[in-house]
Parts: sequence; C-alpha cells; structure tokens
Amino acid sequence: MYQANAQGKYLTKTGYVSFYSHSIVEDIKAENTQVLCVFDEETGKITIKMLMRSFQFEKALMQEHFNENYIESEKYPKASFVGKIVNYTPLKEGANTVMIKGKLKIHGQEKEIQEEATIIKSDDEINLSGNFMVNVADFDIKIPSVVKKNIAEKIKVNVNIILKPYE
Amino acid sequence: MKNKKTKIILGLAILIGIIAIVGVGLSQYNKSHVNVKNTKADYILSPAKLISDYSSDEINADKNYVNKIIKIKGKISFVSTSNGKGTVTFNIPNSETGITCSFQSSESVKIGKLRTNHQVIIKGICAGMLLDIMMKECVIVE
Repeated sequence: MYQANAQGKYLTKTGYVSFYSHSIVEDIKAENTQVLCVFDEETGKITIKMLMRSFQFEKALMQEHFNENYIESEKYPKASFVGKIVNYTPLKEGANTVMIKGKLKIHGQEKEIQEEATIIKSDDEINLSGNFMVNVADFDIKIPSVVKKNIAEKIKVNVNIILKPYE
Repeated sequence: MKNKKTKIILGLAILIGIIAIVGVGLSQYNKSHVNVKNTKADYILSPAKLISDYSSDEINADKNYVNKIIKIKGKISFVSTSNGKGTVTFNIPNSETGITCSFQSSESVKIGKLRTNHQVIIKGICAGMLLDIMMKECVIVE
C-alpha cells in the first residue's frame, strides 16, 4: 500500500492534555485542547508545547487561582516536553507500547521524566496517549496552606494527542 | 427596654453582615466564566494585525492580548471539526504564524457550514502563541 508520508513528521495544534487533582475536599480537573505536538517518525522525537491559559476549569475562580497564583502564567505562559522514544524502532501499524524519555518544563522548572505511552499508528494518523503523575513540588509550585487540603500533592496528567502527517 | 432593643438590632446587623459576606463568598466561588458572546470585545483586529503584533514582540503582545476578548474579521484558511468541536485557522501570506481558533460546542452547527475562503467574524479569548496564535472559547458573530 502506498504510504504518502512514510517516515515523516506528524503535527497537531489541537492535541488534548488534561490534569486531575483528587483530595478529600474537592476534585479538580482541567482540560487543554490546544496542545501543539510534533512527532518525527524517523527519529522517534516528540515535542509537546502548551499554553497554561488554554487550560479550562469548571470553576472560573479556580482557573483564576491556577493562572495567577499557582502557575503564575504571566511569568511562565507555557509548559513543554521535549524527548524521544527510548530504543526507538520503526512503529508497526496498530498499537505500540513505548517508553518516552525527556525534559518536562513547567513553571520555569525542568525535570527529566520517563513514562510509558501508547502510540497507535494507522494509515493517516498517529495517536499518542498515556498518563503519569506529576509532583507539584518538583516544579516549585506553591500551594497556600489555606487551600493545601484542596489540592493534591501529586497531580494525574492525561495525554491523548492525535497527529496528522505534516511536511 | 433600650438595652434589649439595642442587642436585638446589633444581633440582626451582625447576622445580615454574615449573610452578606457568605453571599459574596459563594458568588465568587461559583462565578461563571466570561460569556464571550455577550461581552463586548476588547479589540477588533484583522488577522494580519494580530499576527504582526505577535511576530514583532510576543511578550508585549501577550501583555495586550492574553485573556482579552478579541473580535477577528478575516478570510478562513482552514476549517475542521473533531470530537464535536470546531477549529478555524487564519493564515496570511508570507507568515508561518497563523491564528487557530477553537470554538465552543454550541457553535458546531455554524462551523459545519463554513468553508475555506469564507469571510467570517469570530470572537474569542486569546490564550497566547505557540506555532499559531491560539484563540479559545470562540463564537461566530452574526
């Protein structure tokens, strides 16, 4: 079968990333549907960038606190991940379980992470998905003691990004 | 008795005060997101103007535009829908940077009727710039 984009680059400007905080007091969820992602099928390199301001919370007040106090999005408007698939070999059609390693940057702080992910390759798209935990403290995010019980120390991040071929 | 009356009035005043504080607190806690459709735009811009401002000075453009409601009048370069949510992109000649607008789900039917090269007026909140300038919570303006 003729593959129009064999071993090429894949891109999306509307990838999905969400995060979830569970605590006794409340559960907080935020979703970002404007995530930029580039995947290089030749090298296994993955770049993900997102705007903090694109995260939508159910409660406007929580969104305000997130941007103004916790993430300080005026100072640090973006978060990014730059990395690659470990021991990369060409992807097969269908589901591939991979290890992704790279630098995660949030709130101006960078941390090396290595997490498992699933890449589903089909004729015309690449679907990158996975979830992992992030320690709020690792990124110098300060939660005021008043709301410490409302926000988990470990936040669950969920990634579900669909990329299309891109020249 | 004067004393008793004073105490009752004071008690009532404190009670009203507490209700007021709790009321304000609750309304703040439950305050809703900005209604883009019903709120006047902070800026009315052409795609070229917004792209030019961001291309020349991203940090300054963020200061002016992030979290503001911007009305954009322009020609659609690309339109698509995924998971029931529409996206419209504006591109201009000689610029790799475009504007990508993500729409509220209420706009999905309207988005379905849009095509490349249609002139359109959209209103949304600027979130900043990645490859494109990203607009969120967008609506089509009649």
